[in-house]
Amino acid sequence: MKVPPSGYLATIKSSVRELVAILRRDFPYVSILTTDSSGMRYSVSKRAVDVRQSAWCERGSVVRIHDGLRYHEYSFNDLNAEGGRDREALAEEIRRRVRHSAAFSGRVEFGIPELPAISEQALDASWCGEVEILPETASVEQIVSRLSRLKDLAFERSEHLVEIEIRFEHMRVAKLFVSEKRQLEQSYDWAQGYLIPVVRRDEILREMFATFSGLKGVELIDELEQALPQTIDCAEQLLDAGRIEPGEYEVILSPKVAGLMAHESFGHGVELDMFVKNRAKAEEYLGKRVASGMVNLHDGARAAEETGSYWFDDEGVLGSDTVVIEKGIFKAGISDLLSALRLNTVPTGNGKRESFERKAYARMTNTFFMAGSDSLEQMIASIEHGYLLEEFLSGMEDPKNWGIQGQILYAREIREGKLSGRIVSPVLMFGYVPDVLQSVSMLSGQVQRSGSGMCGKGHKEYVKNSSGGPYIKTVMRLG
Amino acid sequence: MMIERLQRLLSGIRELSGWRINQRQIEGRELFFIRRDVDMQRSKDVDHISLTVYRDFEEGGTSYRGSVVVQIHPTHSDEQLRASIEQSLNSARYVRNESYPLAEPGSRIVRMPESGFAARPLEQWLPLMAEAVYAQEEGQEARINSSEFFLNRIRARIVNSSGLDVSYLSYSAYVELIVESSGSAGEVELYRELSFSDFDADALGAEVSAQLRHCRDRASARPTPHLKRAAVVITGEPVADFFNYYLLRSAARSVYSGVSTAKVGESIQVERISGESLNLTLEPLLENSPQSAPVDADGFALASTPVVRDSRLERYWGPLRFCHYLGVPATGSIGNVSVQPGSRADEKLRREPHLEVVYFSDFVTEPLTGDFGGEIRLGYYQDADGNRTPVTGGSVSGNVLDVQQRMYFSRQIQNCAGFRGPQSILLPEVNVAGAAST
Repeated sequence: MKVPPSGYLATIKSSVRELVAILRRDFPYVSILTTDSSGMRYSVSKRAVDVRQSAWCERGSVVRIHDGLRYHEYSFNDLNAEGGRDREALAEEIRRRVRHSAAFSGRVEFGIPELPAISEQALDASWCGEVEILPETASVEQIVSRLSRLKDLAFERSEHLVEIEIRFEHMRVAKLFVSEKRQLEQSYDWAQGYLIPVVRRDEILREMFATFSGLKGVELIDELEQALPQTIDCAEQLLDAGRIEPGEYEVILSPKVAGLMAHESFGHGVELDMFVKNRAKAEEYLGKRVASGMVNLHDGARAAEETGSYWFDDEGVLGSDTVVIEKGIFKAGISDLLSALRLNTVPTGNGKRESFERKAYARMTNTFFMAGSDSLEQMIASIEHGYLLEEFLSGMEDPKNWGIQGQILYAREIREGKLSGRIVSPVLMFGYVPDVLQSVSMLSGQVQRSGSGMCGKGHKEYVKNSSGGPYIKTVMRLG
Repeated sequence: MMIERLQRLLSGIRELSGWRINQRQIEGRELFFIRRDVDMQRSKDVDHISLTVYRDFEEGGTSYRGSVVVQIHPTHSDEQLRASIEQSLNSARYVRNESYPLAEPGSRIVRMPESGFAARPLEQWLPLMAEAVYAQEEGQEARINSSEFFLNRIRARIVNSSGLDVSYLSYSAYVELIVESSGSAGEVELYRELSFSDFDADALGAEVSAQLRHCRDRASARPTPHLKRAAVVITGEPVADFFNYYLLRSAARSVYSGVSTAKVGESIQVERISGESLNLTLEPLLENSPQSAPVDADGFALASTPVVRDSRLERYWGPLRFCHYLGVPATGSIGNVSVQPGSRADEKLRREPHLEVVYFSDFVTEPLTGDFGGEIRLGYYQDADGNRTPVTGGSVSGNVLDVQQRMYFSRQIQNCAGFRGPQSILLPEVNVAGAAST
């Protein structure tokens, strides 16, 4: 079913165009991004139900202006077709802020580097996504009933279960970008789900975490239902989990952990605003080997169909598919528009904002390792003593020093080419990115992606994206 | 006047059992630097409103209170508002939660202390903040790579159907700072975020100066040795994260769900403690904390609340709803945590050989299990002869349950991001994995 466009954006389109035209009288470049993203989050646990609008909802505008020297932005959320602020008054308020910024910059001892105005090719286009079941066709009663039924099934399956949260969230992302030469509009749905069981045996308490996502609608709940038994069983296994002996091991990364690796090891490090700041070690390696010859890594809003997908970014640049690593060689980074202007490179459609209220940065979209030709069985059989890292909790980048840290929820021990049945939890994986990527020796044949989490730049600016890969065999330090 | 429009529309709906409106009007200024060059200036004026509708119903002889929370946009017409309310009301019928009361208007009025930021227009503070930060570069062997400054003035208002109508003004400042240096370990950087609600140029400068010194040390740091099990001192913001384990165990919501079995009057630590006893208090109004607020999201008036005293659980804490479920007095959701510092002099804390970690890549304490850990970006290893060497790489990991009997808190205190408490914790035996050779 086709995702409908935003009614709000349709009503204010002419007002936005008018505001751009008014401001263009005074400034060389003006663009306005307006968002109208809405959705609901449903959460069912043992003794509580929660229904609320998703925290990803937003409706508002950000105007970007080049004053002939540099860029200014102003975010607001009271623009509508009839009421709200008068367009001329709003334009005057924006002019006042730009003037004030210029005055301020003259008073303090900081440099003001000159940046050229953005040059765009004319484009007028709109896009709508598709899902199997549009969220508005399912009632709250239907969704809550299904999640409640899953909760009951979970408690029937496990005597150790003390709590479970079953969460389903759907979002309709709708954005309008208007500049003098461009009018772009897009509307698409994504959904995500979580199964978070908590089990206890005597004093041992463990939490499991299974996630689901995609450019999907209510059909995603089917995936939660299918995965529920395995997730509960895995939570029970965690009750017997041991601790890992810290050290360096041969490891197999599951597609989810491979995704974390793609994201934290090389994704953040090739965001080109990091190059502008001289914060990325990757800059020294452009055109050079950074990984084993079997490693290929892509990022792009059009490289895959997941929660990091879109047709145009928050700066009005069309999404693309960037080959970041090809046969182990670092080929290209991913870029927002202003970083591309500074570096004299081509923007890749990776300029993303947390919301209309925030600055745009170079951000990942769908980041993933490409498949190889090995089977998981072959990979396990090749390891004398190592671990299969199954599920992660979080990760952190270190683009300057190329360290990687990942909090792994649990790992399965491999002994003499077989899974021993022993589980360790939690596990900290860390290493030096070139060492880890150079050590990649096997990749399985199928890529799986996951986009249920969120990605920060440092510890803020959270945006949606996905990551993934095949099963990957490499060497890492675990602790 | 969106709140008044909403109130008018809500008053005409018969099936409604109650409602609450939360409004946050935010005026913000932002300034971005690459080295000493202004990268961009931003500003914003936004109005965020959320509406919670409550619907009471009975099923099988049990009373329920269903609720749905929706965002209201300033651009909504009356017709759109009415549709949103009615849809939420219908949906609330399927949210089966035990009944609970709404916050009542109280006679006790807690006032927010006035921030120094109120003395000038917002835009005038950003240069002052930037100057306080960049002045620290002088004489240092590290420099600022880039920085971001944010300052928000927030007018919050909470209105509900029980006649509650409270509002307060707060400020939230945030600085993100990346500093860099080079040395025998090559070119390195350290990331830091600082948040505060009042401007103290000296305090801000001291934090930045320490970060620059630490970055210099990281540039000459050696790989962390593989200590296997060692005494570890955790210093700075991760200390606050460590106590999240006790916050979850004492939360009314965790007890209600069965995740926590902690009981009031019993030890939340261990019975026989040879280290430090925990004393933890929730503070609604902590000096210079952006998390400070006189009321919580329900509009419930907050007060200083001792939760753990001498390691014994004094009371459960949480919002009106979950405290009501447990039949205990509500404390409300309080944003700041205060932990009593230790009795040991800081020199005594560091007398034995240990690893002190001052920067992690990302220190995480899983509040449910007590597992904690993180990769070391900068630590100092002190050997048996008292030699102190900067180290980097490798990791620290452990579990609160394994260390809580013999942990020691520093006498020196810190104030950071909604936390006031010891600057450091000494953990007796923790896993330390050494760094990979790079």
